[in-house]
Amino acid sequence: MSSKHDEHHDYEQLDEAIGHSTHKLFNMSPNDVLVQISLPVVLILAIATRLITIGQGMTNQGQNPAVLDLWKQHLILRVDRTLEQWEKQSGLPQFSDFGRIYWTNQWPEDDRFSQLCKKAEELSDMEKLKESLYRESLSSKASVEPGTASSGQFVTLYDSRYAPPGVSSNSVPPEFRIDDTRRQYAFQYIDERCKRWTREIEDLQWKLVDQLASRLPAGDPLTDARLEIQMKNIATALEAKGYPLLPGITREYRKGP
Amino acid sequence: MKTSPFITLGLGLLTLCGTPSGGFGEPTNAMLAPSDSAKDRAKWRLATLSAAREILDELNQPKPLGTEDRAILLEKLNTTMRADLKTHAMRASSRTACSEIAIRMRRDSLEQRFKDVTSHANALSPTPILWSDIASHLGVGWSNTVEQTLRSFSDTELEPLFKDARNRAIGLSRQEWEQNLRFPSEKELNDILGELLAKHPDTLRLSGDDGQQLQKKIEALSNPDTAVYFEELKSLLNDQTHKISSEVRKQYDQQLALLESTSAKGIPDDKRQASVIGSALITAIESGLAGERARAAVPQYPLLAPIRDSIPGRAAKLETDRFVDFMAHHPILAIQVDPLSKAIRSNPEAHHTSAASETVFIQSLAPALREQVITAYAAGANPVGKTDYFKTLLATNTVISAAFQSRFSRELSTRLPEARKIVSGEQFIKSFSTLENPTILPDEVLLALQDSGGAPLTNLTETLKLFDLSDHSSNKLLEETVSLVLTIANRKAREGYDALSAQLALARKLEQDRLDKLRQDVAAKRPFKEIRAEWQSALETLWAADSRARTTPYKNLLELTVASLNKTVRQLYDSVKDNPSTTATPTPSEAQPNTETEQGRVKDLRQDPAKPEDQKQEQPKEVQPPTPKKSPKAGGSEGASNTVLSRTRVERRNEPDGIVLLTAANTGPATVRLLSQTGATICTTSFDPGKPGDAADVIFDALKPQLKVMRDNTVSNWQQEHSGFGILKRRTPPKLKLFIVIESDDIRHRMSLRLRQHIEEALQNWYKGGEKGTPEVELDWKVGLTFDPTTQVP
Repeated sequence: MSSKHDEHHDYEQLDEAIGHSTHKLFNMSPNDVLVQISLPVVLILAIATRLITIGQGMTNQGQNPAVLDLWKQHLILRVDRTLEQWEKQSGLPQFSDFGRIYWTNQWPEDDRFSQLCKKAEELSDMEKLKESLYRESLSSKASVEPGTASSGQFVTLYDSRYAPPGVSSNSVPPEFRIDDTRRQYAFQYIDERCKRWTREIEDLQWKLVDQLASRLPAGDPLTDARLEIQMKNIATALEAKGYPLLPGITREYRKGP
Repeated sequence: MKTSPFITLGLGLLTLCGTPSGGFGEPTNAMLAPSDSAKDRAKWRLATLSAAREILDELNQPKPLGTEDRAILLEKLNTTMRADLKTHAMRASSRTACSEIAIRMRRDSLEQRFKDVTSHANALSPTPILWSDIASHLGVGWSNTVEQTLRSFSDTELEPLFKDARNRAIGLSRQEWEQNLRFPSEKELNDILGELLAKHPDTLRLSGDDGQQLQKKIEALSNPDTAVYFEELKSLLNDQTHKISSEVRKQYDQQLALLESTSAKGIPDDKRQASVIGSALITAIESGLAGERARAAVPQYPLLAPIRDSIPGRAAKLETDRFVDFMAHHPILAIQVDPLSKAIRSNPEAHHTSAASETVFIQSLAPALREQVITAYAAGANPVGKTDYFKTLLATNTVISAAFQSRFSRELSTRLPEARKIVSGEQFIKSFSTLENPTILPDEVLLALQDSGGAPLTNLTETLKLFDLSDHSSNKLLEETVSLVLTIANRKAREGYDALSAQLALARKLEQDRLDKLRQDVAAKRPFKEIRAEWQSALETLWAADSRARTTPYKNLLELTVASLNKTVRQLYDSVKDNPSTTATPTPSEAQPNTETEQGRVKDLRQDPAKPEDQKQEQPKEVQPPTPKKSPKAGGSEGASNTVLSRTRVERRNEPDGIVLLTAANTGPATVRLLSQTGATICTTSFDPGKPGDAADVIFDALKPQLKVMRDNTVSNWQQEHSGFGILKRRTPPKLKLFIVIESDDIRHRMSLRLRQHIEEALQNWYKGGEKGTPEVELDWKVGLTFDPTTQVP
């Protein structure tokens, strides 16, 4: 104990001497420490991490090359073209933001959005729309990009369920014949896209309803103490204005809160 | 500033629903979590809007109160009315108060409804909804709508509720009141009466205001907590309490009437001690009350405390009144005249005056009478009272003592004069009865009376001496005797004096009437004795006629009158005889024997020229014949008629320094002359007698230089007389003596006063402006009718 005490005492004396010395041995501020030491260290660590990530990517590319089946490539090509056409017809891409809808007073005044809402009515019968889109995809003449294995050729995809009358499967190689498994794959692909459309359009229409409700006074004829009636009034009014709502919205309060 | 109820409501709801958002209408960003979708946001909005619509519907079309709510409100109003009767006593104020209560309850109900709507909206919303969010959809005037809704509720639904609640409260109050309404107990009534009567302790009678107070206190006794009641009950309760208070008052008044009637004439006269009287009063009143009690259908009170407490005082008053009445009327206090006369006769000196006599009798008679009264009064009491008790009562009770004194004084003041009159009559008859004999006064007495000018006789000794009566010590005579003697003596003296005066007046008249006859008699050389006898006979004839008109014992001429007539006739006779060419001017003064020429002591101030002006009496102007002898020295006064009034009037020592002679002609200005002691005219001037003020100034200005000379001579003479060692000389101040003679009535006295004032002021100024040591000269101002300096006595 006595030795520790003496040692501590020595340190105190030393500190005191330093403190009272006219020449300080360590005169850096905490900010100086941060700038001159910590930041370079962090920068070095970030560079090292990036280099490691790049190396790992290069390794993975050499191990698992992504190559799809041929029928799949043709099918997805045709479906994508059909879906893109539907999107284009609906005008959905133009409304990536709700603020793009034009308003006059408390009501929307936008033909494009009206077209979207009307087009979106097809989404009310999703199965029918999916079959329609699948049928349209099979019948479309998809072109193959030059330079690929099938470039310059029109490949025919044959689905016995949706084949036009008079068309035989003999002329189609088995490789391009669509069986149930392959059809299910295609429908799943379309279904995902339709659901995305539904979600996006519903989102727009909920915003529409919200915006409209925020502009309605409590005594407006559209309002009602019962939410279901109020929703029906709003949907009817919007439909009359040319903005039919999706069933997912109009039926919101029929199934309870 | 008063906060709107709905601001309070809104704040309450905000507190209920959570922390207020940053603003109304757009709270979503603040309240929604970042993950909240557009759907959630829209649902929140729709729920909010729906809730606002529901509230708006509630406000615009409020639902009528349900049965349960009506029952609750009815009970609430009923309870409030009965709990706060003061506020709800009047129907109008109650209606207002109930309206406030109902609106408050309705507001609470609405607030609860809003809470419920908010809660319901929250249940339908994926994110919380605040009241402010709902209110933002209601618009800025929603609080007014609330107030309008509440007013509508108050106007339409409250009135029937209020009627029901009030009728119910009134019915319950009336039921309670009727259960509690009662007659006050004896102690309570005594307390109430004591409190009311304390306001007017001098009377036990209840006033109209006392009756109202009595009714109020009975109301308060019956129902102290509801002393304030519904106005609808006022007349009913007033009638009921009025019946009770009227009955109570009737009983009180009945007791009081019994007390008063018994006090007035219900107690036998032989009840004379207060304690006995009090007991008799109580017995009589209670007896009367017992009769009433037997017939009464309502509770009857026994003898009430105020009545009972007043009995000792009333008994004491009756005791006093009876004793006083005894004092006033009982014959034992009657004083007889004979003992008084006897006492006066035995010691007349002590009874010389009435006051002394009264003092003597008070001291001698009062104690004995007091004892007799007490004994008689005590003996007449039933039961027989103790003498000491009434003796103490008489000594301590000032009213009774005063009554005794009053009766005694009244008796003494009535009897004492009678007794004194008797004794006085006896004294007069015994010593002065001769005074009443119908004799005429001797000449000496008449002379003395004339000397005093007929002044009343006041001194008994002198009167007795004058009437030649034996002297008596006035101390032994009663003052009434003295007064009687003086009265009779004065009556006789007046008769004598009047007779003498009347005879002398007739003599003066005779002189004037018979002057011409005298002149003829002298010319005819009739003997003087015949003439005198004829004059005397004529005077006797005149007096005989005059005396018949008056009741006088002096039927004949007095010796004094005869002597005076003889002297006058002699003088006239001599005068006419000595100077037959001169018209003798017999003057009234010369004919009067009451001048100093006759006795030297009788003075007629009316004729004295030395009399001050303010004592001069106006007398009828006599027609004076012209003066046969004119003064040779009064040359300046020619034409003026200087009539000699008295040659002996001005004595030597009264010689004036100057004589101012004022004469007036029939027309034109008057003349003033200043004459010297010898009658020489010093100066003369004229003036207008119609202007006294101006005339005095004119005269003074004319006389002023000569007056200054006269004043200086007077000072000079005075200084010579008082020169040398004048130790033994009396230093009288010098006087400027002026004798003013006014010969005309046209010259007014006011002018002579003004002239005198001027001369006095001039003397004063000359004194002030003169040499040091010069004495101040006084003005001796005498006024006479006329003066002839040539006839004055040297």
